Amino acid sequence: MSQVESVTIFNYQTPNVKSENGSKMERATRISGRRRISASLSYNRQKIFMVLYLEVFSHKQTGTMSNQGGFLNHLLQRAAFGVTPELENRFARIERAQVVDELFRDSSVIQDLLYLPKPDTNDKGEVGPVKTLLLVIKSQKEKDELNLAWIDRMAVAKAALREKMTLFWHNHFATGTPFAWLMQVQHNTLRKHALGNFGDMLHDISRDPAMIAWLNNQQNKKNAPNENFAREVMELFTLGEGNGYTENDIKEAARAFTGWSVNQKGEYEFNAKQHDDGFKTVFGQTGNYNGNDIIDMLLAKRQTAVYVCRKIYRTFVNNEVNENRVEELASRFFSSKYDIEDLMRTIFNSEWFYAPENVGSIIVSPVELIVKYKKLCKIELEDEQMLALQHVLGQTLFSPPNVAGWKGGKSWIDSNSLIQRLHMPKSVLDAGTARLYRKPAFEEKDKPQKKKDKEERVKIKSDWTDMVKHMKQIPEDKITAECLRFLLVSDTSHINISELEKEVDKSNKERQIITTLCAVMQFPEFQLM
Amino acid sequence: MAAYSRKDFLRLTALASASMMIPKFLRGADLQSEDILNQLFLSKTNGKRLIVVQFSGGNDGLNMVIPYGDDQYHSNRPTVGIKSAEVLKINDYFGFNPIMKGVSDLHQSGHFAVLNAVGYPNPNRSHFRSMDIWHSASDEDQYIQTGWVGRWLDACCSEENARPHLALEIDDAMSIAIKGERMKGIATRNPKRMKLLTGDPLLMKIANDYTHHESEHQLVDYLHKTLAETSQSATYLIDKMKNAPSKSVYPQHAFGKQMKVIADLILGGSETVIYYVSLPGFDTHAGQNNQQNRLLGVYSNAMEALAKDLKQAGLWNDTLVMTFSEFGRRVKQNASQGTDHGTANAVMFAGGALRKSGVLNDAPDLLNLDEGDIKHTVDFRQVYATVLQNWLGTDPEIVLGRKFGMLDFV
Repeated sequence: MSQVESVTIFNYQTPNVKSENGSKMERATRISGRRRISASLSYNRQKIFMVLYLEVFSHKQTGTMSNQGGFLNHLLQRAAFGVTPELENRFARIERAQVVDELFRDSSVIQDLLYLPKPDTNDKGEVGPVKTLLLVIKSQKEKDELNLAWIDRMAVAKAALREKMTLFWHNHFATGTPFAWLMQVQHNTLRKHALGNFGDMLHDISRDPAMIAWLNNQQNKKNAPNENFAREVMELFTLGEGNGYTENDIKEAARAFTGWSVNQKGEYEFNAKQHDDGFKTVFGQTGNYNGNDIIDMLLAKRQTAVYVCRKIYRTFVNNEVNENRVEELASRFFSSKYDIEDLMRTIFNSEWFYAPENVGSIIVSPVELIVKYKKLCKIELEDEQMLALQHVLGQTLFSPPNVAGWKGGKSWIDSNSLIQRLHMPKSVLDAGTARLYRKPAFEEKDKPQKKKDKEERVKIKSDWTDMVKHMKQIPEDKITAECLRFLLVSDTSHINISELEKEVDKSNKERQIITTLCAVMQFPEFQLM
Repeated sequence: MAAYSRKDFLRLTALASASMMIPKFLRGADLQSEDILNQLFLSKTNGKRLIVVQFSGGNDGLNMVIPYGDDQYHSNRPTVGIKSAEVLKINDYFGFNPIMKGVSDLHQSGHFAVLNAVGYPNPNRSHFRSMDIWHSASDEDQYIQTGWVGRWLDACCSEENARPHLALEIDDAMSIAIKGERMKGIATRNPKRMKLLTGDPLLMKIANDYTHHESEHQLVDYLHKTLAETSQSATYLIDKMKNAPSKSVYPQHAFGKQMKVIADLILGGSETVIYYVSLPGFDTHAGQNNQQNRLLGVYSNAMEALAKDLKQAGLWNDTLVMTFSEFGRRVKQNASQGTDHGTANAVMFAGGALRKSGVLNDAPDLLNLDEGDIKHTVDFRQVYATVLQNWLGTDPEIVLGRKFGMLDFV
């Protein structure tokens, strides 16, 4: 049986979309709808800006930080997608504890990302292998669109912290099944629980159709379709590899998960006939456990809290883990029965979070970097290039390399991705760059080659209005310092200012601001948050 | 033998910060010491090079190296199968797909070999997962986030003498294959594209200014160091591309261009040891023959051009090309004139110094299948181990994590 055939298939048709053009228009309307909203927001802010400007600019930022930014820049890098003029103005004279509060309040409302319409389902009939293949390819296209929709959401969302947490959980429960609709369902499940309860999330994700399909796809074991899930749930989602489970635990736990399947409509369904309801021995205990019991047992182990907290630490505090801190956080996380919001509040309210060694200690992930550019200068690329850019930088949403997720940290950086990162500001300034190419999907056919050999250029659009407004009142000789302060959290004492200023175009104030920002963004320090 | 002259080194160090490439104990020493360093490093490699060609999508090996002498082949593939009379014969049992004239010629010269039924236990028929397994050289139930070529780079490169261009993937994005624990290779579709870096005065100034500051946050240091290494490798590769552009005609196809880049670099004297390139489009569930034939034709023509270029320059004997795919396809054809995902597959070798050519082992057993799929008789890690030890002179156990049985094709 081919891999594609072995997955439970439902009939997937996108209603009301008769043509390629139709679906493009649909998306364009949604996108421009979102843009209109954000434009009106920044207009209101303009008034407040003028009043607060002097206060913001003259606010002396010292203290224990190694950069002039105070706590705000650092906090916003981690709990949101970086600092913007709007956020800086909003939080200008507000105490740290209150800023943290407001960031959580901004994320209290859960708004699903419902980009893809629900497919028509058809209970009858089977989809043959060729049609299944076409389904997968079509779904890849819709997965691409979902990808771009999420990036657009992250760029403008008020609930920035919730979006960041969703991104974290997407990496934790790394799923990349080609069925776009299922990915969207999972995506919203993750967002729902992102600042909620990890136990509830684990229960829901274990029943998530995308997860079930993904692991079946990945494993393709005919006799024990869930042994892989049992392994993954212990190795990657809760305890971590080698931390308190044996091969036998996995085998027995797998039996408990039998019958957890997906029906023809793409929904979770418990198939009682397939369920092994005999007695199992897991972690030294015997009973006729089902999947829920196994999950509860895993949650009852403190190691689960340690493993999750370590990942949270690596992503939100420092790429280098401080095991003592992790233990502290784990104790709290465990005794709170896996309250994620409490965990994150604890982190953002801890003094050690703001210590110099934790500032600029995380390499910005590709998606976060793209979102940063969107927030700073609203870059626009053609869809294919936005996807190719993620691909070249090493992180494509909804397509993690495998169920272990993206490694993160230094692994984001290799020669090619570094060149790409450091070249991006220039390509924005030049309003274009050489075309990037994605490796084709495995299922794609070979395309006939064009005769022309020239390096193709793609256009890039940008809009620096917000940043220019933010810095218009700053004297010319202070602009470089202000750009460094705004954009970088790291120690800037090693930055070669004279080289930087060679890149600046002083023909007018606006050009000076834009070219200085781009020059600062070329420094490796901009890749750190 | 150093493929890297003193003159080259002088030129490089004029552009890049010399102190970066030399360990502390040699810093400030004269150029002769730098040559010693070269030797120290090059003693870990032996002047041989490997080109890994990846067929992405799951190539149907049975229609590439055709067991036309096996009745099972023909009975399972009444319309998709290739007729015995058409194959380019290797022997009484096997023949190449008729489009692979270039490859067949190489075989006639004793420069092409085929290893049948290469796979691994508990084969996975998912593109992503199986490709991951081949890239990381993991077991089926392990998830390793580094690749075997990257780990080779770890084994051969020291921190002070980091030369990421020793492992070069000809593509815009880097595969896991060339990512190691410490080191990563370089991925670029064409070194000329690295001019985005070398042609940028600010970036080059930042790169050249790099010196390690103890006070600096280790991530800042890491980024600057990577930039410095990258700029050196970029400068090096761009330089090598210019020296001796290849003369052969490569197919008008992305793969042809990529193979030409490899040829240019080899002819230009690049010290790159492992090249990695992929040819996608092999997922032939429907209408297989046209699609696969076209791709195999591109491959065969590119191989012919490459061999010609390298033979002319006397570099073919130092070169080994290894071609694989993440899985083969099912023996029985499907209802759409195609085949579906399978398991074990043929791996092919080309080069001027093969110890054996032709078909290296027994034909895949098409009668005793595993639910319709070929059972593997060779573990692909054995292939890697053999290439690592016999061809590249590296200890395979460091790279692969444990011992695997050796083969003797090289």
